[in-house]
Amino acid sequence: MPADSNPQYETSSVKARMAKNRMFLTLCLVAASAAILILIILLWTIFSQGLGRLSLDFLSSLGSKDAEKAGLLPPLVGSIFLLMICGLTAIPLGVGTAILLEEFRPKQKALATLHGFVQTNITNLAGVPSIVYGILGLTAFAQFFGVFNNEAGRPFAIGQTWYHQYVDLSQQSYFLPVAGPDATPEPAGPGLTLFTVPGGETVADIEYRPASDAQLLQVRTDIELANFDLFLKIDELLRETRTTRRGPVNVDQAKAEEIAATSLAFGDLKSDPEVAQEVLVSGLLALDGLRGREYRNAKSQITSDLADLEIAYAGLDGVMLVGTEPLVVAHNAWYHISLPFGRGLMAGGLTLMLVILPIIIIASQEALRAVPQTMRQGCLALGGTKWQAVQQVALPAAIPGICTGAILAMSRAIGEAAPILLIGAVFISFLPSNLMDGFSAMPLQIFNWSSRPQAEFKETAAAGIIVLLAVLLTFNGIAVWIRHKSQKNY
Amino acid sequence: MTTLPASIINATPAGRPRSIAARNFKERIILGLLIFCGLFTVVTTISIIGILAMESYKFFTEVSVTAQGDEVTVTFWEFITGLEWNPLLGAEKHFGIWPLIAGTMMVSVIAMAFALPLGLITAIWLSEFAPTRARNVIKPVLEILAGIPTVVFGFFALTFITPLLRFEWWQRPALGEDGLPILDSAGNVVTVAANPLNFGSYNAMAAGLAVGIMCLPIVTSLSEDALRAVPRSLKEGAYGLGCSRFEASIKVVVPSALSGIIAAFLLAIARAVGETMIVALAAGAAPLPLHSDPTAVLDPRNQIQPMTGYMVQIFLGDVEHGGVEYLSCYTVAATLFVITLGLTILGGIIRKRFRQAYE
Amino acid sequence: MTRMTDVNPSATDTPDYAAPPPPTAALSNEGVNAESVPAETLLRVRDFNCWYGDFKAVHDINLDIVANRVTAFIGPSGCGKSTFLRWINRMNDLVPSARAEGQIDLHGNNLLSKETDVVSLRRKIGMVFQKPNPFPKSIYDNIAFGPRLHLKLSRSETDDLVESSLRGASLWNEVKDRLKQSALGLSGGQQQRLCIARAIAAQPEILLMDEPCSALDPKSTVAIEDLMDELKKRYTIAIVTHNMQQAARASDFTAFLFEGDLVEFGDTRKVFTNPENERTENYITGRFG
Repeated sequence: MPADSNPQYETSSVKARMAKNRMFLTLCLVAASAAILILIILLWTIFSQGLGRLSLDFLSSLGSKDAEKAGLLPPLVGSIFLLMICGLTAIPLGVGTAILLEEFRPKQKALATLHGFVQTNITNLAGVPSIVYGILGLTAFAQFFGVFNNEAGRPFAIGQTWYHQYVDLSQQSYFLPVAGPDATPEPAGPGLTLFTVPGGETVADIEYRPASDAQLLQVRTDIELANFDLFLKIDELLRETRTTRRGPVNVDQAKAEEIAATSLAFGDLKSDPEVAQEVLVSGLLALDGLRGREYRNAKSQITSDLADLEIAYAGLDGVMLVGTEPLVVAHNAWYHISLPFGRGLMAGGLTLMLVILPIIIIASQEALRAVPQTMRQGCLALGGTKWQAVQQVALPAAIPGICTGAILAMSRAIGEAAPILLIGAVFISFLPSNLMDGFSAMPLQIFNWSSRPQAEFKETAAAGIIVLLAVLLTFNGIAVWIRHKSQKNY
Repeated sequence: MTTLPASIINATPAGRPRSIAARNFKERIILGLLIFCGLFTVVTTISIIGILAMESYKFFTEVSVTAQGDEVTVTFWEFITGLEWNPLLGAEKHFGIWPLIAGTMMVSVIAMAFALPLGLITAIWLSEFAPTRARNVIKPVLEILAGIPTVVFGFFALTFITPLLRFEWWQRPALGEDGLPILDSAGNVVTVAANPLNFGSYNAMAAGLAVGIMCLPIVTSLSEDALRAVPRSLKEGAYGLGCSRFEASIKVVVPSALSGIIAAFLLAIARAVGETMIVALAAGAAPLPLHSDPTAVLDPRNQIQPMTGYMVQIFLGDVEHGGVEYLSCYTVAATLFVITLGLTILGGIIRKRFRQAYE
Repeated sequence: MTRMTDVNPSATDTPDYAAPPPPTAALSNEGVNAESVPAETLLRVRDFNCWYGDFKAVHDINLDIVANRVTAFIGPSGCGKSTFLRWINRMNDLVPSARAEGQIDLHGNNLLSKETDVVSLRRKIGMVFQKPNPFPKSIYDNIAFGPRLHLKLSRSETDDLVESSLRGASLWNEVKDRLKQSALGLSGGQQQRLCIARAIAAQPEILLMDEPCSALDPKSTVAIEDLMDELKKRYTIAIVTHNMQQAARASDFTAFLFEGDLVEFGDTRKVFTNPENERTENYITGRFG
């Protein structure tokens, strides 16, 4: 600076310099506190919206179209499964790759070039957008590049049993085990075992006997005649309910009127036994809360009639099964595997594995690099092989670092929505029973809730975010704890 | 001087020797397994490139039928030069990638305008000035921010940044076409957000700011690493010449770390370009109408559609599998892949040079 | 820990242990006198050259390393003494650019040939490093580490080996009560003696020491020099040192290397009192180096 050489300017220059210095420091403080401010606002936004929705019910209930009832259980379970699949595959693969890259550097030029290429490739994979991994996962894991599909378009599967499903007049289903999806329906006759639940233990105590149309008509008529009296009775009772009010009556008036109207139009009941049953049940509900012996009697009468009606449906003369064309249904055991995996937990977990693999590799490499070379030399000089030096010296010393890296990678995986967007489903209201089952995951569900226009769903989403953040915080806490515990000197 | 005990002098090896052949065999098996692990990542890359290339090829050869009954294919030239992206609506479909790239660029530029200066200044402060106690607060805060899933930032953009931009805390009566306040059925005045700046309920600004917040920890930590890698001797040399701490850091440390900082910036931009969930939630779903209004790219108040946003829309929507709209996703993904890969490789090269200079 | 007995004498040699039993093996349990053991060449080095990439680190070395003696390698930094030592047990195989030519014969086999099983070789030629490098394991596991790599040992055999090795390295009395504690808790001198104990537990023939005292305080240095004097009754020792007094005190033979050349090699007393070469004299009198 030429000004410095001139003493006249020096004092003012120093002052200006100090002012600049101070200004810059102030700017720094503002910038640094911006991060804190953002975090506070972010947490406030989420907690102020979501805290009200947070409850044990929220954690333990299934999905719903109603924002107040929607729960986080399926995505929570889905996320746990995804995390297990992704961790069990990504950690061995990642640590293995890191060991190869750090501990087995080849001396030959060609192999060394390949080695360098693998290393560069991993750095580049870490920068691939996660949605691109989603496309890869969809094509590679969910569809196996279209390789496995046979003519019927059905995947190769194990752990799957097939049933023909029959439905009787009371809508009760019965399942007949068959050899495969293409099996022809069994001819009617005694001696076939029907199950009430596919894959279940309970054997239905009725015979497989497809009903003819004439038989079906007969059954319906029988049932209707058998219950004609009952309908009349309900009708009468309800009329009475409307006119006389004895004691504290708690009848749902609107309901009662509706039932009365229905039973008056008895013509409709005759043609549809299901409606008949519905009316009986509604009658029961309407009578709830009525006092007095008469009503109690009527109630018990209806209850027993209802049971009779069900028995009549189920067992009448053993002629039960509606229709002749059964539905083909599959029941999947817990170990069910299909190739390709389809859009299920397995494909989702493996896709997340692709996303975090580079992260685990890089973290494991850093952990291995931090182990002093003299350690390995100590083992080699004792006549250890390269692998023995890794397995017995380098790897144990690097384990804390690898654990920290793996946990941080897993916390990345648990929050990733983009890669499984193409594989997961949002409207899942059941818990997965095997690794091929469709799934939802916490970030997916949060995305879905956030993207809905209703304000109530924003609150549900915020509550979901709180749970997700709590899980992440736990993960990070464990990582910090491991890092803290393992700070040792070599 | 001690004499050696008999045990050590007479020592002959106890125990049974382990088989050398078995040892060598095990060594080979393990090396084989490790090579399998290493090649897995290579296969991943090859698969990504293979899938994107194959499906993009299908996209450019897929014949679709227009409303007039003509059979057309999308040409590569149309794809990389076209200014209209309109695959879903209208009689005529257009597949020009630029509206999507422009959308991505808008979000990235806004994000970087936020994250780069803030991140760099924070990094300079952390590496040069910050007292230990302040560091102990800021570093964990940045780590927490870095660990927050992007879908959460998307939610934040949608429920905080956008309402902030639209002044939603300031409600004014909604006016009907006749200029009078609209009343609801109960006779109360219906209010709407004041929104003096006319931001849409989905807009590029909110998404960009949220992406910027997401990138902030990346910029900060990578820049700080670069600044810390500058040897102390350089700084001490500057002090020796009478520099203040501010001058030493601005005139010596930052220029020395410049390539490392640029690499950090490039990696952050790559993250911003590939970000999906934030833009899917907050940016909207309307590709910029570059063909009719090229200046739209300068207006961050309207909804846009970046590349990632389009992919989410198509994959979640019910378009026909294997149709030209579905295949276009792969081509967009290929474009995105090429852009981010370019940025990552460039960032990697610059960072390597920087490391070589000081390590 | 229970009281231990002497090592089972009926145990057999390992097959890869190709050497004839060391000459001291038959000695009785009274203290042995180094000078009473006949001098016999164990390692024969002929026309040895080695390179790092294009840089030739060592030129045409010819020397014999005598069994049950301490051979010291001295010379200024970068003269190639450590490099040479690291070729004897092929540790330099790990350096990608390193290569060597010539012969280092042990029992008639050239160690440098491609066929050499370096892993078995390193078992026969133990090494102690400049900086003590105990594994982050217990003292017991550190000592048992080498034997466990090569032998299937019973619990009591391992116990015996650990005790005899620690006694051999004069460390037993200091650590016998804390064998299960981490080796990282020992002092620097103790750690280095632990590394020596670890090396001898693997039952080597030759012990290479690469500046073993450079990271230690004078007291520990003396302890290790005393130890070397004891160890040479059973092992052949080659030591690299930058400390000329140490070479003079502790070695029987001295080799002086300068810029990759073997300038002088011979009886330590002669090299230090009456060197043939002027450069040797200049170095040992401190005119350079």
